[in-house]
Amino acid sequence: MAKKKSELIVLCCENSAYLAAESLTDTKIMQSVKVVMLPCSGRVEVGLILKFLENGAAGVLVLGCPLDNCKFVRGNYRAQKRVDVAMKALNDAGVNKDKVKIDFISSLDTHKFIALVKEMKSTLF
Amino acid sequence: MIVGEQKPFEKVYESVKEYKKVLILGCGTCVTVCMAGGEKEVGILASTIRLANKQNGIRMEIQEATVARQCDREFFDEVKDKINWADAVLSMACGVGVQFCSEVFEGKRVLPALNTRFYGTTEQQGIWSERCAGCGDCVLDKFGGICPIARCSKSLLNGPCGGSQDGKCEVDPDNIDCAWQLIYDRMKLLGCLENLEENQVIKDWSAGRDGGPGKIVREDMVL
Amino acid sequence: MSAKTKFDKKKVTLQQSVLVIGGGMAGIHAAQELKGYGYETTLVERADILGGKGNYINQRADYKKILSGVTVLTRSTLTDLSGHVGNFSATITTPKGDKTVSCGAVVLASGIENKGGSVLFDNENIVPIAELKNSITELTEAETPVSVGLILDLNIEETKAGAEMVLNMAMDLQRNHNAEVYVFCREIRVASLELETLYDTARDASVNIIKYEGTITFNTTGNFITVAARDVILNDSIAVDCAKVGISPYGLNVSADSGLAEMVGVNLDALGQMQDNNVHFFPGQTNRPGIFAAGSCRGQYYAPQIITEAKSTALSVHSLLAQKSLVVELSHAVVDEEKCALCLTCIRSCPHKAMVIDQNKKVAMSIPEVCRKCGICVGECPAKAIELPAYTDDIVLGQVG
Repeated sequence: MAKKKSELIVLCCENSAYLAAESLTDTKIMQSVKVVMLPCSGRVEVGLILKFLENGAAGVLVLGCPLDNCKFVRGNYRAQKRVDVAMKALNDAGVNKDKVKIDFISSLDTHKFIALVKEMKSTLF
Repeated sequence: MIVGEQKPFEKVYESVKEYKKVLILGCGTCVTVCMAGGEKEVGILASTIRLANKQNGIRMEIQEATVARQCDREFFDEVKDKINWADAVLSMACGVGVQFCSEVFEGKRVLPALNTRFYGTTEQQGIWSERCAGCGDCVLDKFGGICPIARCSKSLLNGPCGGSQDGKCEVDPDNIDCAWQLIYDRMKLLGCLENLEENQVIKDWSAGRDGGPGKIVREDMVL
Repeated sequence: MSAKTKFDKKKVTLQQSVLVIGGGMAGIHAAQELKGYGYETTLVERADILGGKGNYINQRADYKKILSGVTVLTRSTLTDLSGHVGNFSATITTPKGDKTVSCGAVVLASGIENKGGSVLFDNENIVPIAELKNSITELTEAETPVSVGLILDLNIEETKAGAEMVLNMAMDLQRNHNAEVYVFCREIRVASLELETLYDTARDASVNIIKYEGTITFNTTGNFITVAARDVILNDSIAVDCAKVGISPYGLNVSADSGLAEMVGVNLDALGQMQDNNVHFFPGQTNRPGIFAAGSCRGQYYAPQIITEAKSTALSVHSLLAQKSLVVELSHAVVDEEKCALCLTCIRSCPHKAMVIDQNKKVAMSIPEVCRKCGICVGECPAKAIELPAYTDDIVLGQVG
């Protein structure tokens, strides 16, 4: 089996980030990037993030709704706390904790999506 | 319930990294409730160790499992194959479970991933605090239901010390309420404040930890 | 592994009845609209009379006529609410005993509670504006005009309602009660025709309106309170000796009924208002499906807007209940009974109160018609006992291939 180049996994809330990503026309930015859809950023778990990294992902970017604008009230706040725990676990393991990041964008923010993906890619690759 | 918290990762890793086959064993009761050693935490610890192994070039096979409790031997049955397979079991149970596992699987290397802290309650989601010290001779009837042994930093039985200020304990005024203030307020509310005038004699500490390892035998229950 | 897309469905009948808590302006107008849409509507009010804080606006309103067809229970309070969207069961304590009301939806229009006491500062002459009414006689009977300071937005930004109230009070005191009024404000919101006119009329009536920036201080000098601040227009400090000072109450210790909010499981935001300040819930929804909020309990104090929003909340209720039944896809969160330790985490974390205790099995379970399938509980559960069928770990990890 050919070794796949490690990818940046973007965990997208389907109410915001996923919609922002859908409006993308420039496909080049999405090379080595994989978008994963979640019902809410609150579905993110520490264990899941670590599993993605164990499975060879270069990094994990979690994107949820802007704070205080989560469709489900507090999913994004929960996600933020869990990403903090994941970063600490990475630090414990001696892995660069910048492999995991969380940010908040709205469904219209395709530009911010592009900027965040670009920034993360430059950190990782 | 028994409340514990995970040991710092470096300590856990240090104790486990020499083994080639490790079973990380969680417990589904107390430590699940206090978010320290349930199935979710087993997964996180396993992933963290695997990532650390990769960083350090260490080869180790890890298996994960969680049983309902580690303080009753029958629960180990469903994981006995995994336990037998492992060089070492990293138990995420409280101290009881860690020990019992190696009693049941005689001579098995069982390592603790947690520090067992106290018998306590969930004050609110994510915050647990101590309520009981297991003294073996409960005197809660005398103090309006608030335990001076567990909740007073000095375990005083006859009133507060001079370090009680604004209802807080001088040991850690930000986090510890003066138990005697709590006792006073509670007994006032219950209308039995005058009972505090009863002098408590020196406690027989041998009923608890200080009397050596405890054991209870109920003849009527023994099969 | 591909996501499971086919789920069984369940039909939930929605009761065609609504319970409105609070008989103030918001409650009355919401109830009136709901009755107009054809719902059996019950209005619960704890006071003897209806009108709430709106009574000072129009004391001659004929509420009986407005609410004909609505069951009105005065001197009554809600003491328990159970059930879920479409099928709530409320216990109302009335003077004649407890009454059970079933309804498909609940509208909370319980108004605001003034938590702050009269002692704001160490001076009995500095009071919440509403309490200035108690001093009216004293003012009118004074030999010379008395200077009165009205402070608008002391602690937080005020709304139009605050401006309306302060300007009305200022004019009333100036014209009718022998006062020389100084209104202090950082911002005064008059962006509506009536308010602009009101502002001009107040100025014409000789009310002094001082726009200030920075801190405002209150110092007792003899029998007066010296109110001092930096006047933005004059670009200079200004100090006025006032016999009485009134502070606008909307900026102080005012919150919705927290006991009611807790009882029905509705969030209070940072300002103590019902309904999170979250665009997904505007205008009247709350974190609990089937429970709505309207009026000052959710931070709307300006009378014309209270009425408009009460009507649009009623419309939101109507668009829920008009369906008569909900077809619920059974893709809600599922609890593994073997693993569940009943730690109560999911019950506490669910923003929609969709998780309850199954009293027979002594495990947690989610209510299909309430569960919004967000997955927050899945991430919180320490026993990994909860799964969202459409987003299991395998499915999420499998999206990467």
